[in-house]
Amino acid sequence: MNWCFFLSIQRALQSFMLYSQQSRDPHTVRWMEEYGDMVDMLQFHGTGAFNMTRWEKWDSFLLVRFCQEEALVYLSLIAKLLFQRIWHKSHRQKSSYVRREGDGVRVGGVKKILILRRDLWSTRWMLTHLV
Amino acid sequence: MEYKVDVDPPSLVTRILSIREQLAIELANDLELVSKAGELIIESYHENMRKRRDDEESDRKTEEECVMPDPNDLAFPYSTSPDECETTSDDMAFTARQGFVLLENDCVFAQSKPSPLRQGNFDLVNLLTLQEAIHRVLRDLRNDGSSGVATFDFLLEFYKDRLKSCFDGDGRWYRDEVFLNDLMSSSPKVIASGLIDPVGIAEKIIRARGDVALEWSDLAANVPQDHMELRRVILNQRMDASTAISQNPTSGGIDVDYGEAFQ
Repeated sequence: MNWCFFLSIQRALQSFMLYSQQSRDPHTVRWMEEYGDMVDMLQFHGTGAFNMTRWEKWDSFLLVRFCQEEALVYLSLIAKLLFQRIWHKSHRQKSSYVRREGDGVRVGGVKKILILRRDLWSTRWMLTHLV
Repeated sequence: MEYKVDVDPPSLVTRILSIREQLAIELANDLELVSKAGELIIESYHENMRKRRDDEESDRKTEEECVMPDPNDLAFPYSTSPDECETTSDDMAFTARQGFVLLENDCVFAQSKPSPLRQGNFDLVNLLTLQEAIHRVLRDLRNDGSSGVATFDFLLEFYKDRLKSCFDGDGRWYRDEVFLNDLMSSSPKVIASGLIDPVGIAEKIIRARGDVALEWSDLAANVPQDHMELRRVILNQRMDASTAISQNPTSGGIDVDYGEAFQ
């Protein structure tokens, strides 16, 4: 068993998580931590972050977990908060509302943004016409 | 309200492997620096010890002058500053951070920008190579037979005492330096079968660390080639997975509540 391989993959994961976090994609970081049984990897400074009983080889983490299936992360919003924000913004500063919501949901990838944009606009339309 | 965000693990793998390749190139370079730094640490330690011995001799002379003043000197004890009669504890310090100096120089003259976690990587590489070197020295001592038993027991006990604080899990920076400092400042012991010399053991460990670092440097340099095979396996798995997903598109997924993040 070579510790160097484990360290290199651990630091590669941490670097990747850092890049994801910096590009406002905390969801992927959370997903990776949940599937890898890792805790607070962005702050972790040490060796042996991997569960080596579970991941016997350095690459088994990548091969076993990551390549099996496509995953979906479901983001649940608190409806009340969203309602308050939309109510407030849509009645006072419409342009500001659109910009700030855009910042909030920038999770990486054009596809994700388009999905969220569509959902947000449908909700906004519904609320502004019903309330 | 619920949103679905796709996470495409195979594409993550490809990106993680690219990052690992870049890190491996840096690691190959950094591990050579670890090996060079080991020699510098030993040299600087001996130099500091020589300096300290010289200072002690000169201090002893000064002390004699302090203890036996001239009875006719009315200015005593103010003629000699108290500081001049004390030895400085700084002389004990040895520069185990030679590696970081080398790393900084290397980064300054490098053509490409370092990765964001490079200093952390270097610190952890120092720690991990030290741990591997300790294991190797312990194995050698055990294989030496009766001549190395006492030293083996001493080092094993010393290592066990510091395993949690210096090597395990999340922790502070420069833990390898703490371990080596503790070992080198331990008192030598005389036993029936000979002498246990902590400085000698530390030297052995540092030299073994140099060998480990050079071995691992070669391994790290080969990482891009190793990834070729892995990428092929991943591609095959991805093909299989895409077939499975097309048959069962709703599989997979976790719920994450991000309500607070939007406050």
